[in-house]
Amino acid sequence: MEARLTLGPLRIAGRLVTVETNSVDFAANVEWSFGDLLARAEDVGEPLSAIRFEVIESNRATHQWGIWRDGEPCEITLDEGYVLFQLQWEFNQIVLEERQTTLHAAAVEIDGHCVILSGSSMSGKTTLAGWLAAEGAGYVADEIVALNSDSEALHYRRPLGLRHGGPLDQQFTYPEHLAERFQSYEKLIPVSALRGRLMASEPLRVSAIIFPSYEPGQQTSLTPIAKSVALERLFANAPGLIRHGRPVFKQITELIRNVGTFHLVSTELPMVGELLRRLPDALDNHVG
Amino acid sequence: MSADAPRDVSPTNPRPDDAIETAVFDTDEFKVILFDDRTRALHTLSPSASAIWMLCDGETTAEMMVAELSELFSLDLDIARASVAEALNSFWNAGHLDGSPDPRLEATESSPSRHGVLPRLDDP
Repeated sequence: MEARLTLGPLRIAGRLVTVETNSVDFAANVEWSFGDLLARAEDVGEPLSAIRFEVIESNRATHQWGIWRDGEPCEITLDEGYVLFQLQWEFNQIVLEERQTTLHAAAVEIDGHCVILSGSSMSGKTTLAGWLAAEGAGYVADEIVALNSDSEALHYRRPLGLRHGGPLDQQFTYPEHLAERFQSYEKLIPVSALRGRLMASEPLRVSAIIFPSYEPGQQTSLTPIAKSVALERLFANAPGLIRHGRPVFKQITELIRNVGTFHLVSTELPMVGELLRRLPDALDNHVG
Repeated sequence: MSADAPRDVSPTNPRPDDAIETAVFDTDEFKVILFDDRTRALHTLSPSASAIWMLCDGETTAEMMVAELSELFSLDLDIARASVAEALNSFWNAGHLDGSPDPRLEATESSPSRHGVLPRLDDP
């Protein structure tokens, strides 16, 4: 039988997750990209049922890969350059399964304020979260922000999916020993590699929801928006709302009432950092 | 609403369907957003439709809504009446009102007609 490497356990939305693979190179990528998700020693002893992924190169001639979760196939005809991202997608699914209220968003902590950055793909939230983390903000989550029943943001230390040639390329050093063929579409960069400090594990009270947009040629600005507009925008980015309905709608509506809501034109990242450092003042003026 | 609870589908006393969740934003704006738990759809109402929706309490009649709307927005009664009729028809067709067709189902011949539901406003 072919030798396999077992990685983990990772800690994702309260579940322990292990990854088995028959590729040493792929194992090294998993170890680096998902390193911030590694379970702490005290987590491992918990009597939780672990989720087991097998990520197998099934055809070495054609570089065909497959992913199985607890023995059930997830994807079995994956291109080599996409397999790591598919595994990340499967991890996202675990968060969506385990948490009721979820937002398509990133979140960071700035001077004690948890700020949710919500928007569709390409709105710049990942770049913004990564840039802020590299500048010393605390990293809370990317892609999916889950809220607990007290509407506090929960940590999800997944790596940032960064496109090649983006503004964060200078913020990290890609390890030389890693085979880049697994990261040919994007790079999955652990935030710890961006020099950002990792957060403590406690849930964070949300202070603001910001909707970033990248608008070349427009001046960088942070503008308060009406709560009704914020609800409409969050609605389009709330997978938990579609899945669970009314209780999530009520929770999101209540959250919006109690936090600052802003539109951010994030054309120049240094300027964005300056604006967000002044966020506590803006919140004092905006939240009654 | 439980199966045994009394139902009032009176055309002149509209009230929200149980599947509708209402969010009212009245600080620095006045806007009502409805969430339909059946379709998981969001509906943002205009200011006048928001005012009319807030009057859909099962007690306020359509003619009372006309008077309220006329006073609130300083509207001529005929204009207010047309606005109320339009809004209630819209609520009905969208399945927002108690007794209106489930929006998940296609309209059938047995579905109540909106004209049959709002006779007084069609012919004031």
